[in-house]
Amino acid sequence: MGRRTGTPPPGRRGGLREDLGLALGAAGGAAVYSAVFGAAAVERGWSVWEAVLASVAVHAGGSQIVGLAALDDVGTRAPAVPGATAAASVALSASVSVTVSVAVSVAAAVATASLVNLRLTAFGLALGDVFPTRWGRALAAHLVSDESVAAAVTRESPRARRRTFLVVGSVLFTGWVAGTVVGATLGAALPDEARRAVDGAAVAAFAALLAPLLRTRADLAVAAGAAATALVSSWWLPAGLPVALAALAVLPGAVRRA
Amino acid sequence: MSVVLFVTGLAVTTYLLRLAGVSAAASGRVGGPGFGAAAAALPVALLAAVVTVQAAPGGAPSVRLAVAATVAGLCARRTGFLPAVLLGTLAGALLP
Repeated sequence: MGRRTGTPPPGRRGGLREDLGLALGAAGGAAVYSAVFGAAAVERGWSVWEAVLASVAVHAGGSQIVGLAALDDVGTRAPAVPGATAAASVALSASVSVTVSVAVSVAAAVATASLVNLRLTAFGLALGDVFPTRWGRALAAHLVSDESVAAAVTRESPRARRRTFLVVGSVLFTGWVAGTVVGATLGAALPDEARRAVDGAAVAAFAALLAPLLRTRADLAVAAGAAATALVSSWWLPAGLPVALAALAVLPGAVRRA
Repeated sequence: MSVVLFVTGLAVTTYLLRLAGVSAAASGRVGGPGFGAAAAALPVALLAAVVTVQAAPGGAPSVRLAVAATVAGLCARRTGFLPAVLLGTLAGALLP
């Protein structure tokens, strides 16, 4: 969920009404984005409740779609278990092989998708003194997102930041889950031709998120390096790993240039 | 089953990443000298890699998906996120 929210200039006091305006605008965009996720998940064989569970429990759009792509062929890459004519020991060995293969693929998908969420740690750092108690931080952590923190840090006082964070975060979360429900439900009901377009929507969404981030030659160099690494490595590596490898490969160069 | 495992694993790691940031802020700990640069470059690298992998499933570029990504990327700065996604999707869907 890396979209712009149109937050007010730094230092504004902002009231509840302004918070709600920000929240509804952010939630509207999030709902559309999460509908794309819901439809793409169903397109890839997830059930509706699995897609909704992901949005409720993870609540981080970019990582959910990255994970969707990383997990895409976990089932299809697993070797086939021999039939009834095969020896029992061979079948057992193949079954263990399938289990290990799926476990490795799922772990790789989780690791790749978690990389996308590293930025949420940085956003949490930006919140600072908003939640002084341990329980407050534990309960509020799930609402940390680009939009909720970006809106909160524009407020003057910790109290106003806390209110803005909770209002924007809660409404955004609601819109995110609702969008997933709609996308997953309608996506399953769409004809094949329409569902085929969902693949284009997912890649279009990522491209639309990426383009505004390409401001300098250094940004372009990072993007080009990551794209080339991902493309070449996807010829050999299983799904999920090319994205992680590409990100890890270009980061040292980006840090050195900074 | 793999989907449930994936969602559970991602939910746990994501929550811990969020909590780590919030807790570190409260305790006054911050990242090292390269933290800012890495935090800025990571989304660019990840998104570029994801766009590439999605537009070239299994390493084989798809013209339809590449067009959808290109149109959305070109439109994003002028039109904003949502219209860019819709235009990119439309452009990709028009191709066979």
